[in-house]
Amino acid sequence: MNPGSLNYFFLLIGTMVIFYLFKENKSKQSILLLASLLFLSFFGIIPVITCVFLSILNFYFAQQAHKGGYGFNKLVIINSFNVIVLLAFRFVNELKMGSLFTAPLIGEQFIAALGIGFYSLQNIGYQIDVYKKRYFPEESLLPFILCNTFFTRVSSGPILNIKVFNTSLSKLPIRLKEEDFTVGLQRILVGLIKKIVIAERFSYYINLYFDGINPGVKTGYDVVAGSFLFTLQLYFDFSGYMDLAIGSARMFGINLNENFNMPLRSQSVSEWWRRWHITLINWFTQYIYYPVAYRFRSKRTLATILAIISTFGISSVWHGFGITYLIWGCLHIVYLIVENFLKKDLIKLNEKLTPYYYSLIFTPFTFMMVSFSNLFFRSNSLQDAKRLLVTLFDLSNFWPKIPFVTWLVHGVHWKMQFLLSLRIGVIFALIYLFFEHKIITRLNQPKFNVLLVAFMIIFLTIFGVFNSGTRFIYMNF
Amino acid sequence: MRTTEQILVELQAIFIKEFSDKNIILNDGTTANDIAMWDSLTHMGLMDTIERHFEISFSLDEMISFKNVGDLRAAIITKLI
Repeated sequence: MNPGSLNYFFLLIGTMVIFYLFKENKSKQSILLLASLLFLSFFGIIPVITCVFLSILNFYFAQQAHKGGYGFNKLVIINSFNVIVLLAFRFVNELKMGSLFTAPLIGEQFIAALGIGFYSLQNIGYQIDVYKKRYFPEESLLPFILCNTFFTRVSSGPILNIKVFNTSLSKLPIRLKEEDFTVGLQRILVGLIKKIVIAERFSYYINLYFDGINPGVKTGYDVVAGSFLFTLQLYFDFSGYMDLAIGSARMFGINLNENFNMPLRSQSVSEWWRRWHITLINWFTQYIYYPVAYRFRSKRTLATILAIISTFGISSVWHGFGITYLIWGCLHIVYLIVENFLKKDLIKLNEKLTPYYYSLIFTPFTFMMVSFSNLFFRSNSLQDAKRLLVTLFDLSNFWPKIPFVTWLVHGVHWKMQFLLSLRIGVIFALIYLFFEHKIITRLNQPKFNVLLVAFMIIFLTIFGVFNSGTRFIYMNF
Repeated sequence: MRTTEQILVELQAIFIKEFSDKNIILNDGTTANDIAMWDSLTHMGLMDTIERHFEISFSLDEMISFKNVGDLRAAIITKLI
């Protein structure tokens, strides 16, 4: 079951109806758990068993270990198990499916939808927190399993803090509040618009640029266009999924953490990582970056470099085993280290140019740097990435060999039948990005506005690209 | 025994030296958002300098829990008593 599919909405609405029939908190939690297990069961019995088994194991291990004195050895044992299961699933997935971006939906369903990468991180963090005595182990199993399986976000996050999530579970609303319904519905609709109206329009072109023999790539310009489009697609696809997950959870009075904060406005790569996939980077910062930086803090700059290398090294392995992910991680390591060395100069430059002109230069520059790294992130193999790089740096063949006027009027791939569709997607993407702050503010207004909701539904119906059958990209991780 | 005001003065001197910025003026409400150079990449180095200066030691959880200079100053006072 793809989040955003018709089946997903049947499940969501059905669960809401039953959820609000009951008044007791325990009953509401049980209904959410049943719905979550039902969601997982659409992908087969293995995701259900794996997720529930890992939840029970982590729950009881933390309890028992805490009672008997939670030693470092115990922490290593349980988290080694969590990591081995995670890596085993990743490894099997890649062996079976090859590239994550081209794999067919049917074959990879059970692992892709499992979201094991996300709830494994939650469990690892939970064990560390209990070991460090940041909080006591959970006393109730039901909310613990629900935290791992909660159907609106099990596929791709956001990564939850078990304590925070359980606090919101203890305050589930008896009746559906207008504020929850309005904000939830608006977030769901904008998520669908991002996915179906914008990201889906880019899919065809992204495939031409990156898959097979890269038939869409003739010149360096095509490589640049492909990498920019992919970065846009990734943002609209992933943040669209997050809107859907957060909006759906809001229907049950549950507030999930935000995962994006307008990342395309970042003026540096370090700022990008404070705005992009926030819950994942917070996890890496808390459990990898800070411990490494703390351990070696007397080494000053070396400590920072070591911490960055550890964080992005593990992050790239978490995303996948391929060499292309490793290069992507290395590029971000280099970006962050260089930025760290130039930080003082960049601050002075910002003061000299004024923040407005500084942003005019460094916002597109950051986008370019991230898009360049995404060439590797999206390439299916090192061979493909090499081919794209050779084309990109072949300066004699950078610009398309068509008359300038034709290019200006029709674009590069003027014979492509879907060009109009792409242009519509790009225009909507730019309009959204320009008004992003206002749109986000409006979406969080608690007062129901029937005109706005009607507009969003009509807009979605007219401009949506339906029946393409593609899943959300981050379900792969 | 240092007074709380003295600690703030010493902290300000450390921040100025660490971030090479003579314009830094600290108060209890100062956060990382107020000082451009102070972020997760420079935080641990700053903490190390503070530890050495006051001859104290922070745990990792303490270091990442400081919300502002006021929290930092309070933790230093506790360690110095």
